[in-house]
Amino acid sequence: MRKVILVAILITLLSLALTQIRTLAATPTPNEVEAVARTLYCPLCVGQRLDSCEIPLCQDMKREIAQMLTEGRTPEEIRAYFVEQYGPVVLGEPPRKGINWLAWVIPIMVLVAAVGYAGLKVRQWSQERALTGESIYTTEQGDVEDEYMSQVDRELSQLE
Amino acid sequence: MNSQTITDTRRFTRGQIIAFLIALLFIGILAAGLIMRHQGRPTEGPAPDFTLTLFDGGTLRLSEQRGKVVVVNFWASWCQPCKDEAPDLERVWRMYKDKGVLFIGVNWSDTEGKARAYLAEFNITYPNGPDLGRRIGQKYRIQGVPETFFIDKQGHIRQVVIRPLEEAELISLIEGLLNE
Repeated sequence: MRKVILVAILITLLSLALTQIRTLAATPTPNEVEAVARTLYCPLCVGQRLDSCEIPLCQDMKREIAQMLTEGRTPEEIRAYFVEQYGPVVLGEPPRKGINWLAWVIPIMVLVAAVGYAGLKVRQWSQERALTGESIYTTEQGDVEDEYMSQVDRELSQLE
Repeated sequence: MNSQTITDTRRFTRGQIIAFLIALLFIGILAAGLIMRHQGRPTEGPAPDFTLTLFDGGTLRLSEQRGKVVVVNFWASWCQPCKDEAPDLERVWRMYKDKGVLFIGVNWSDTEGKARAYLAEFNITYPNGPDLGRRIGQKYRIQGVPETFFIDKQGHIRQVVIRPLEEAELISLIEGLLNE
């Protein structure tokens, strides 16, 4: 009888220890929580990343991240959950779909157009210079000097 | 020579026109975004419709509540002023729930666990649900919490209060709309 009780106690202790080990293994480290929090933004602040945000909502969100990691959810699933809860603002950038694509495409198009236009202008300008044979060093001061030299010539000829 | 110069400056290449149109589109989108961001919350006219997924299960659609005076209260568990007004809201809801009045709690920018704990703490019994994706808050252009919208029997916004409400003020506003 004593043997049976001893075995029962041992089995109970062993199962408790195993449960504890499993819980510890599933508990995410602060670094794992921070890694997910770094990819999210506070929905109430402007441009404030979740990992460096200390307001109560951010603290609650970080606790939810830890909870979801414990449940075995992937960072991608956690991000999707927060987008569903608070909208795309938590991603810190507009989602790359639908009309939001314009926010990504237009700045690039403007940049390409501006660079292209500037390149075209520079080429046009250098071609014009080459055709007229005009020195790029011709300045207003040069024109003044030419005028001055002409006047000197005129006055010299008058003296002669 | 001069007339030639004038003609040259007035001619735009296709590239220039496209660049100009792109720049115009870009500025237009930026301007539209700024205008939308700075538009105030609606204070009159038809109340924007929404469907709220309730914490208790099921959904509630605002447009299906015509004929009732509806009080839409935006709140969050982290908001102290919301906690200040919560007992008054619940008390007045219990006074008017059988008199053609509906209170709707919209939980804004919160976590589900904290929101449920808040509802339990203040024993709130009127329909409540999370503002998923903060879409309802965007429709009503709320700036924070608490904000409360009073909607008449025809579904029009009649009053907006952007501070904690007290029992006497709630009763006065509801009575005003019920007696119309």
